[in-house]
Amino acid sequence: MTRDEVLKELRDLEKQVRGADMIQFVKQQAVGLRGQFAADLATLSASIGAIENAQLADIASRLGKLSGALKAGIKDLHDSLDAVDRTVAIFTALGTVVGLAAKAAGLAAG
Amino acid sequence: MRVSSAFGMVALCLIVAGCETQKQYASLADLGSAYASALDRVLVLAGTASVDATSERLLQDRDIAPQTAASYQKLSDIDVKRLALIDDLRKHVQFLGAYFGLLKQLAASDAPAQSGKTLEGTASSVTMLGKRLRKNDLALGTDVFTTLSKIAVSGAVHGALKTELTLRGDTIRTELNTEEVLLAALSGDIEHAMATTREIREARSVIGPFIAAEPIKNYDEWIASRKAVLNMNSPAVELAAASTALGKLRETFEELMGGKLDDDQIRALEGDFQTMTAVADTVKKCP
Repeated sequence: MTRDEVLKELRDLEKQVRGADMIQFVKQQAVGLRGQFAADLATLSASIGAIENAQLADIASRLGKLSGALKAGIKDLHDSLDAVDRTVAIFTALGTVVGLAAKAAGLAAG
Repeated sequence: MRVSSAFGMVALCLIVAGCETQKQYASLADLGSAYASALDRVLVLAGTASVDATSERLLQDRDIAPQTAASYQKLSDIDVKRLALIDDLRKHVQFLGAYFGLLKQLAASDAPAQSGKTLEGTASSVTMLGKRLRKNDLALGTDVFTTLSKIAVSGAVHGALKTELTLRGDTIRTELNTEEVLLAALSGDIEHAMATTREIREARSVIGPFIAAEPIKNYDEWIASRKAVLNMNSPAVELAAASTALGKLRETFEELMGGKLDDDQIRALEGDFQTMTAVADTVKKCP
């Protein structure tokens, strides 16, 4: 049985035992039996929660392994964007320079 | 003249094609951000749904037999761990959102990253020359160069984005694939938590007062409770269906990398993520 299958079985079981009919029935039983049933219910719910948490922890760990590459990507993108900013400045400066050079050439020729 | 017209047409086609691809990169980056935001909401919802279900379980157990602090802790500890896990997962998803946000910025830029590096070395000499010319007190004339710069830039940004996506492509695909699994798990958790909450809450706040010997205190409140309880499950089912959108995002990403992306796919995915966000918001509003 896989973890997913166990989880499904336990969830189905919890749905049944926490159902209104079952609870109504249990409430009519002796105090000791009710106490035991409530404790079993709590254990069942806690087990489901623990499996769900293990599943999420597993996924979080897999994602954690990808974090390094993603961080490198973010850094590279920041670098690229910085380069873009610098390039915009360079193009602006270059445009200015060439424009000025053309004016200067025009003046010199005139 | 004819040669220069033909050259102009080819150049125009290349520019238009470049802009289209650029737009698709920007659209994909937008989708990535939208997805990250939608998944973040689902994660928050998963935490809330889990805590609510535990509260109902605790009250139900208390209704059956007297409880102890230890029995409370047994279930509450699971929630505490769950919330910590969800917090970690949210950080990771926000991280991916930041990555896509940067991709979008790069795609929307009017200047080339790679050319930036190439031109970096010439920057100081250009600046020096500019300073010298400025001293001559001549008027500026940059219009032609602004236009030329933009044409050169588009293709280069495309190149920079492509380089980044090619370099990190497998990581992003694995990331999206893992998050597909995450969303499927979260959908299952939310569905079960909400079903549990619904079942117990219906018995406690709807059926209990209805079958009790004493009269219902406030009919309007009872009707409102019943409506809220009965409407609890349907959004969770929709949420499970929306998880397929993540699979589509991965496929779209792969198609973009293979150069086969069309705008219809992007629009369809936009709709899917909007649905996912709307569903998460609707469920969150449920009492």
